[in-house]
Formats: sequence, structure tokens, C-alpha cells
Amino acid sequence: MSVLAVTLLLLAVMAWYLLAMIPAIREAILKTDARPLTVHADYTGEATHFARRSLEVISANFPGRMLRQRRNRIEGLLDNGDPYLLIPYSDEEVELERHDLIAHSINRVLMSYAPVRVPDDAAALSTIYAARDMTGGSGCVYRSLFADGDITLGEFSMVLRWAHAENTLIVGNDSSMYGRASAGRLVRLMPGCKFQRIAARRIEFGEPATLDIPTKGALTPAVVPHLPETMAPRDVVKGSVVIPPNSFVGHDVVSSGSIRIGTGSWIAGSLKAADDVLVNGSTRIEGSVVAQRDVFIGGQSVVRGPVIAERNVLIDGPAIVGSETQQTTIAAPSIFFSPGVVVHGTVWAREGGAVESSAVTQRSDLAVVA
Amino acid sequence: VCRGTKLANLSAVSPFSRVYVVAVAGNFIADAAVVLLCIVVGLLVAYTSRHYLFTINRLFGRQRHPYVDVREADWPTVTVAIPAHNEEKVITHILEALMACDYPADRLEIVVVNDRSTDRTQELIDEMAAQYPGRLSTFNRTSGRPGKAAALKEALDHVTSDVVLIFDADYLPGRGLIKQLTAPFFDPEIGAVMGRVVPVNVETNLLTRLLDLERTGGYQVDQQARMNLGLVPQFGGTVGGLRRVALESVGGWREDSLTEDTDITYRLLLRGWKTAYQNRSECYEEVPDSWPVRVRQITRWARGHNDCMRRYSNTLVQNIGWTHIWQRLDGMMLLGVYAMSAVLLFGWVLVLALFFAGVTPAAWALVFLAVAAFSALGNFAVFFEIASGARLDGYRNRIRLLPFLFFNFVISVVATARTVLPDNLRITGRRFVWHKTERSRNGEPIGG
Repeated sequence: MSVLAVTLLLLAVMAWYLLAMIPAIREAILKTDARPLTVHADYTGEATHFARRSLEVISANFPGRMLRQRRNRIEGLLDNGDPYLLIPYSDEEVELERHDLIAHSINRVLMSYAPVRVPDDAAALSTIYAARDMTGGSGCVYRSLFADGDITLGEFSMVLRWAHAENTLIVGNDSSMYGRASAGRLVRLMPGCKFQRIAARRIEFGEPATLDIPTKGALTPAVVPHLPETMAPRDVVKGSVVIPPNSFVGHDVVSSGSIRIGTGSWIAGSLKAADDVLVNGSTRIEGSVVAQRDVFIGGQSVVRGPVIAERNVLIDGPAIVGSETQQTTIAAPSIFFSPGVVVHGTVWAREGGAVESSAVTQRSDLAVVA
Repeated sequence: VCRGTKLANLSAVSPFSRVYVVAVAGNFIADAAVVLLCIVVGLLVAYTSRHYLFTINRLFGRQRHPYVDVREADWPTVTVAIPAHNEEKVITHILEALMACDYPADRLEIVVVNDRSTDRTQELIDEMAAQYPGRLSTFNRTSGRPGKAAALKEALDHVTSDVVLIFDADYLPGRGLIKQLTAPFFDPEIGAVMGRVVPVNVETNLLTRLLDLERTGGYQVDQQARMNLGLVPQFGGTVGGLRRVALESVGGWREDSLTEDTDITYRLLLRGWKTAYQNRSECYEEVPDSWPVRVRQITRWARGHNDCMRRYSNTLVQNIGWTHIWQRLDGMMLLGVYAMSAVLLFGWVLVLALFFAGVTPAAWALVFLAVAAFSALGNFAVFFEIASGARLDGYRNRIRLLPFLFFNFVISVVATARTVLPDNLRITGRRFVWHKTERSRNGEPIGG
């Protein structure tokens, strides 16, 4: 083979290789996609994030003092180009007409500086901002709601994005709260409600019931069989753990199986199971409860720390999670409460949650410890 | 003489003759080489399968982010430690970012470990400390062993916080990051946590763009898949943290380690503590923007990692009590990840030697060879992993740079292969020297 032939072959191979490199070389030179991945440095995951942002826009356009001087309804455009309808200040409750709620743009903001009432079966697909209180009729659909006072929604209501009340948010039976629902003081979801993310200093599921907070009493220290060489203050157990009724556990328990806690027990530490954590009623847990599958907590129980599950959290009422002074979090793909549960802090159901007795009672028999 | 010669053909030759002995030896060497090649190919196939498994899990499997939604809690006390050696270009940025975090101020302590800086680092820290009285302290090192592990060991010996978080000085934590990284410690099984590192200086040159892709594959796919599968996510020594009691229970930092992060990951694992990976806890970092810096960085990582392999592989295999079999397998493969460069180079040499010796492996071995060859040159499984990670991040055109990763791969293989030599494995008693990664930031950070 001649030198020329070899050279030509080599050049052909190189050209063939370079052909495949053309898109790469082009991108290396032109840098059409070379920005760093966006990291939202200011985003903290607060439930009120969207509500606060909306309020910032409104506040920038309408400082409160100006509004008190207005007497007529005004329509116009905010600085960001979104249309608005402004209902002027009044001490009388204003009932919105259906045409007030119809908008050509979903970005429209309806601002009311009078207490406002939405009629039954209305659809408000623009954001409603109430500088006072807001009351919704039954069967209404809302896009997003914000009130400086209270929000009370009728039964079968639906909020598509978020709702925030600076004071209290009360949601009627069988309503659906998609996205975020939050309040400065209290959120109450009545039976049959569905939710995703809720945050308030106090969240009530159904009417609150009386709870006899379990006391330490005369409990028996439980002996948890654990692996040898446990160095830190925790018991690591290979397999499942069963804590008998009326026991006291003074430290953290980690199990490669499930954990069942008998009635009337007191856990001073935290619990973690690779399977389920099933807690019988009248139990007090000072730490957190973490399960790679389900967490079930029986009625008359108190949990102080976060409750985290990778499948379901089911809590039977009455029960308290967190406290006024120690806010906490319940996080899981699905969360079910029976009426009477009170949570202080945040409930984040990634796929969905419900105030539903039947889902909780179905699992209650699994928690029984003989 | 030995090329393809079989003993059967030597029946006429005296067993005491020179030809016979050479032929027997030749056959033995050829057989041994084929066996070695099979082992090399088997290892390459195992690592290739691992990349595919992780990628497929990331694309189609159940994703685990159990702690990311914890927003309210009785937060533990946290010490954020920032090892700093001549960090005047970046130190102010990270301190400002930390001061803006939404973690309760009375439970957050920031300690800059100033390790013999000779530039304006200390002056800048003092200025910040005056601006935020009571929230920032400095631990000054003027002597002792150099290196991050030694600095951390010395500085954190007296820390009493429940959790210790560590950030390199060039990082830019977001407002919610401290809470996100602390949340996993509500799980009593978690001993360490690791967030996601995101390069900020991507646009600088081709190297930074390739390293950005590499990080995408490593974090978005590799680490998250390990988290999903309950295997061994790795604590990376920055944008992460440790439970203090867990750290103490395994004896604290090893000051002679070049990769204190890998070292602590394995010591925790061997005592039943898990590492959690938080893919959504992202933090900007600067990646090296010159090849010599990159080569030094990866060589240090490889040396430290291989040292951990020497130290812990035996113990890990026998660790039946605390770990399950898949964790042990994944842990072993993670330990061997840098040694695979040498194995790959050895495999290439072996194939050439066998070819020129006229030895053809059996047909079944060819199948494995085909898979291994497909994997070996630039490693297409890794390309698949990186491309999938880039897709998950929503990138589009940068995936076109994948062919350039071949060059990055070759340089990394050559740089890391020599770290398996005895002198680098500490078998000869040599002390490792810490090489700090130089910063190139000039002015305000892009993502700040």
C-alpha cells in the first residue's frame, strides 16, 4: 500500500471522526447552553411564598392609605401589566357579583378593601385579595386567595393554587385545597377536605376534641434488643421492634424492620424504621418519627418532633403533633387524618392528603400490640 | 515458540528439553493473561452495569426525597465550619450568604478555620465579624499538619453543637440551605448529609463545561440513585454535614486523610450510620478552570480514595452486622472507582500483548470483551448517565459536548492510574501532601 493511500485513509478516518464532532465543536464555540443551573438562592420553601410575592406586587401599587380615600370601583393595570379590579374601602360586607369574578386574564387581581362575600357556586379564576375578611359560599372555585383578616370557605369549595389568611382560614366540608393553604394563626379543615400543603401555628382537622395528654406515670423501662457496639445514644436493631404497652424508652430506636409501640408508652427519643412505625393510642413521643413506609399514630397520642414517611402518614384523632412553642412538620406523599387531630407547624402531602376517618381506621388494627 | 503451541504438539519432545519447558511456561503465562483479562473485563462490565442501573433508576424508579419538606421543627444547634487557606477572593461572599440564611440565629454558629492564610483572608473575616457581632468566630491555625482534614479535626474538637456543616470557602449557600441540610438529622439513623454541588463558572471554558456535565451525572444521577436504592450516598466534604455524636462515635476526623469525606463516609457506614443525599439542596461552587489544577485535584481525590480502599475494603466485606449485602457491594465498587483507571489501562496492555502473542480468548469472552470495549473508550455508560442527568436538569444543547468528555476521560484515567502504585497507597509509609484547589473568582459571583 502506498504512502499516499495510507495518508488518504488516515485523513478520511479523521474527517469521519470530526464529522461526528461538529455539533460538539459548534456548541463549544457558540456556548448556546452554558449558563449555570438555576439555584433560587432566596427561596426557602415557605408555604406563604406565593402569597407574599403577590402581596408585594399589590402593596407596591396601592399603599393602604390611598385606598381609604377611594370611593368608586376602579379597573386598571398593575405595574407588572396584570389587570385589576379594585373594590373601595367600606365597613359593610360587599357581595361580589358574578361579572366581578369573570376575567379575560387569569392574571387579573380582584382587590377588595371592604369585607367581601363570594356567592355560592361562583368561579373566581383570578386572584382575590381581601384587605379585610373574606367569606365564600358553597361550591365555589378559586384560583388564589389572600386576606389580611379571616377567610371562611363554604363546603365543596376548591382552591386551585394557594390561599393565605393573615389570621384564620376555615375550610368547609368536602373542599379541595390544591397547592398551599396557610394562615398566620389557625387553619381548620373540616371532614372530607383534601389538601396538599398547609402551614399555620395551629392546624385543626375537623372540630378539635379534648385530649388527655399522656403522662409518664408508672411506666416500665423497655429493654430494646440491639446490636452490640452501639456507640451513640441509640439502639440499632436488626429486625422488627415491639415495645410493650406502658413502657418507657429513654433513647432513639432504629430498626431494619418495623416498630410497634404499645398503648400508653412514652418515647423520650426518636424512632426510625425501614418498614412501618405503628404507634398505639395514648402514647407520647418527644422526638421524631421516621419510616420508609407508613407511620400510623393512634388516638390520644402526642408527638413533639417531625413525622416523616415515604408512603403514608395516618393519624387518628384526637392527637397533637408539635406544640404552640415547638412548631413541627409532617411530610409524606400521602397523609390522612381523622377529625380531632391538631398539628402545629406544617403539613406537606406531596401527592395529597385528606381529613378522612375511614382511611385511618383501616390501619389502626395493624398497630395493636398484645 | 510459545505462540499457540499446545502441549499435545510437544508429545514428541522430551519433557526435560529446553523447548518443552519454554512452551509450558508460555502456555501458563498465556492462560494466566487470559484469566486476568477475563477479570478486567468482568470488572468493567460490573461498573458499566452499575452506571446503567443507576441511570435507569433515576429515570424510571421511585425517587426518594424524604427530608426536603421539613420546614418547621425544633432545630438543633449547628456549627458551620469553613476551612480557609488564602481565600481572599471568595471568603466575603460565603459569609454574606450564610448571614442571610433563614436558620434561627441563636442556634447557628459560623466558624472560619483560617489555616495559615498569608493573604487578606483574616482581615476580611475580621471586617465581617465586626459587622455581625457574636455570629462569627475564627479559629486560627499557625502550625500543625496542613490540609482540610487536619484543620477540621483541630477546629471542631471543641464544638458542642448537635450538627456540624461544612462549606468550602468558594461556595454560595442559598437562604434555605442550612435548614435543608439539617433536616435529615431528625432521622436518628442519619450520621451525615450531602447536598448537591452546582458549578457556577460554567461559561469560563471547555473544561468548566465538561466538569459541569460530570457533576450533573455524579449528583443528579449517581448520588440520587444511591439514595433511591438505599445504597451508599457519599459525603462529599462540603455542602454537607455530620451529626456530632456520630462523628465522635467513629473517632472524629482522620487528619492524615487526603479525602476526609470518603474516609468519614465509610467509617460511619461501618458503624451503622447512614449518609443522606439531598438532591434539592443545591449550592454553587467554582470548578477548576485549568487542566493542571484539575489534574492535581483529581489526583488528590484518587490518592485519598485508593487509600480508603486499602483501609476499609476488607472491613466492609465482613461488615454483616451494620450493612446489607447491596450496601457492601455498592460500597466496594465506590471504593474501587478510581482504581478502575489502572485496571482499564492494564486491560488495554493485556489485550495488545495477547494479540501479538497470537492468543485468542474463547468465544464467550469475546462477548464480554465487546461490552467492555464499548464501555471502555470514553465509557458510554457514563455518557448515558451524564446525558440523562443533563436531561433531568432541563439542559438541551450542552449535551452536544458529550464527545469532548472522551478527552476529559483519557486525562483522568492517566492522572488517576498512577495513584495505585505502592508509593501512593501509603504502603511505603509516604506522607501525602495536601494541594489546595486554586480559586479563580474575580469580583462578584455569578450566582450570588
